[in-house]
Amino acid sequence: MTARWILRRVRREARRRAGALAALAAAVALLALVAGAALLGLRTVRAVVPLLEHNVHVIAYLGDEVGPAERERLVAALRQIPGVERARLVEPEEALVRLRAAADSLGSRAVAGIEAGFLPRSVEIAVAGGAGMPARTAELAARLRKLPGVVEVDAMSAGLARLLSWMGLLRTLSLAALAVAVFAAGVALTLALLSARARRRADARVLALLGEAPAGIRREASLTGAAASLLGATAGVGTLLVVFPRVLRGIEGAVGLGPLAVAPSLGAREIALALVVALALGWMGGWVATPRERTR
Amino acid sequence: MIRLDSVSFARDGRALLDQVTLAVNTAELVVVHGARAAGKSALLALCATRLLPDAGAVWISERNVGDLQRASLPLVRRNIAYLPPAPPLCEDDSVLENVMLPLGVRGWQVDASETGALRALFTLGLDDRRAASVGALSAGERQLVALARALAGAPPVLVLDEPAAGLGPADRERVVAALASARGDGSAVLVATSDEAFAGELAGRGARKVKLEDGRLHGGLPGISLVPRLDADELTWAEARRQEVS
Repeated sequence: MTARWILRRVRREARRRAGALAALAAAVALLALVAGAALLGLRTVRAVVPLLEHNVHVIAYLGDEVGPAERERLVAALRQIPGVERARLVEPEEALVRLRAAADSLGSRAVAGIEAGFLPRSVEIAVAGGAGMPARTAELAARLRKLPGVVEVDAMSAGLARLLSWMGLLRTLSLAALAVAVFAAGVALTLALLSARARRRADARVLALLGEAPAGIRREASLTGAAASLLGATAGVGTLLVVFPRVLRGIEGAVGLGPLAVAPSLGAREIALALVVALALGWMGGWVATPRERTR
Repeated sequence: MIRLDSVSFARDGRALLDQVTLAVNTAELVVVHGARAAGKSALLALCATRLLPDAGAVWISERNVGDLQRASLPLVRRNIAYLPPAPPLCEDDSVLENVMLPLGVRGWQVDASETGALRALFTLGLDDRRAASVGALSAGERQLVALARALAGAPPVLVLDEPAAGLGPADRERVVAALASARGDGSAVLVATSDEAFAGELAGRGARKVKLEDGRLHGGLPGISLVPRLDADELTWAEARRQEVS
């Protein structure tokens, strides 16, 4: 067939199977959207967890009776504890600056009249991240509470544990969504193929009767399938690229984190691979949707 | 154009064709008539390369179909306009689209295909139905559309199984004229029918009439060979074949 004839046949096929092709495009778009969102979700979790861990400190508030030499000794001793990354003394003036900054960010003027002298000295301890961090933090806090001169310990471990469990849940949900999307897309594609196969049988018989080669008999369905699938994948990936940064900003705002240093995104190669896979999937779908006619 | 050499064919243990030898040359119209289930459809399916013989050989334009590779068969079939019993049509398409399709398969341009299809439709009196959907046609009209599809573009070989089935007298007359015209245009035309009157009408327009009975072909007139007179090239080929066999 000439190129114009092929185009004519493809247009006809697209008109006749508009519903099935729209379903195929929607299934592929959903698959691309969910798979991409799951991938980006996992990447976000990977990026956020270390950030959370890095921002978690055990704060030991010291009594006024603790002298400078004792404070230095305490900080030096804390630095020796395994799993402690950093330990530093925070003077009341620095604590006040931080408090004012935090209050300003919340639009509050509640700390306007507070002076540095009202705030206690404290030791800020950063615990190494990784597995079991909440438990290690809690254990360290318990040990600190027993030290003389330490009047109060804020371990932040409960909040951290909660956040980490949320992150774990997000990771599990991402994987589950991916599995459900793959399954749903598989079912949708199989149903679309079976429906198309029944409709294509008569066309295949006519074309085989007229002497069309097997590849030519399958060409129309393959081309339309590939085009619909590519369209769906483009729509899915495009939607994800537009929507995900907004969703991420929402998550950052909800969790109270600043913007991530490197926002999770899909690479050009990954997008190209997704489009090629969608194209191949659509082509194969059209190929399979055309029953094979006996040539002899 | 088409030559069957001592072809035998059986299906489900029943011999349908027994040592059948037949040739249909360029610009020749041959009508095979016989009772129902006499093996006419099997004979035509063999000539259209849809079946392979159990014994003997089918030659299309000097090529033994049995020697052809599977991938070559569509190329041969494109040049054989075959009208099987109950021909399939593209139900959702218009009459014109259906008749244009074989020309597209043969590599014609779209415009040329449309012209060729319109000519075939005009020949069979269907040009006013060109835009109708095939699904809305009567049985007789569907048969005419299938026949127009076979005739479109003056294919070199026409193999037509019961082309006048279900047609009224006026349409039959058109079909007879169209087949005679196709022969005049140089096509090799092989027609099978169980309708004696239709076979007679074709014979009246210069068709060679042969009878298929009990799987064997019988000539219409004594002394006339079923294999037509061969030209010099074909004689050379026949001599070579004889030597091969001996």
